Amino acid sequence: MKKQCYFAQHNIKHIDYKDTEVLKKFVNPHGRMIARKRTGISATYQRQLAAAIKRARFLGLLPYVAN
Amino acid sequence: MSETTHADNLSVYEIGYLIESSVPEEKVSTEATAITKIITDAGAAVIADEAPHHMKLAYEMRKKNVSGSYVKYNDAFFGWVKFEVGSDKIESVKKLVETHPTVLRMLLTSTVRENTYLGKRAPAIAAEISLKKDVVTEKMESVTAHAGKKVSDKESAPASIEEMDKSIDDMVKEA
Repeated sequence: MKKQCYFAQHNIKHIDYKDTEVLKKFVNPHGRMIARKRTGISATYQRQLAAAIKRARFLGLLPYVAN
Repeated sequence: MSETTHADNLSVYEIGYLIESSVPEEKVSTEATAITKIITDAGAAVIADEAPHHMKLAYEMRKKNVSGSYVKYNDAFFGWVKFEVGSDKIESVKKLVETHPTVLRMLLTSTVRENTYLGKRAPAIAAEISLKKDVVTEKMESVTAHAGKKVSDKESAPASIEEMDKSIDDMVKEA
């Protein structure tokens, strides 16, 4: 079965770096981003998500490396 | 991503900033007002903002102080401002906010006028994602469990009923 892009399904057009609760769902326990092969996110949203996670990391909202 | 009005070459930007935790909580709002003033003085129109709130940083940050030594921070006040300003003015605004004495770190992003921040809706949405993620983690766990079982099968395969009966019979005979 083909996976559906979560953000497209919920009509979320822009991924915000401040929404850490959402971003946390797309990083693994080590703090690394999960591949879109696993999450089923479209390429467009994966690029937006990657930028948002990196911005959140810079401002200390998310860790670069989690314990 | 940026929304540009061709008439005045205006673009929508957002500045997210961290105020040092050494600033007393009652003075944080004054610092936030000072940052907003820097932005509005450049002729920007504030679209949305959020007052700084205390938060624990995900990792330790350090900032060079006047004497040249580093000061470490594990918590800070996080706030943000979304505004519209001419693209020619944004560099000066960025420099002024960056060099503000109580600003630990700031991030300038180009954004859109519409609200992109889920805010209070985020936990509900995140909960929905976690359900889907559980399926992935379950799959991963089953794969790792299966791989582990393959290894352990060779070491200690479960004994069949016949084998167990035979071993019991042997033990009885010995006795």
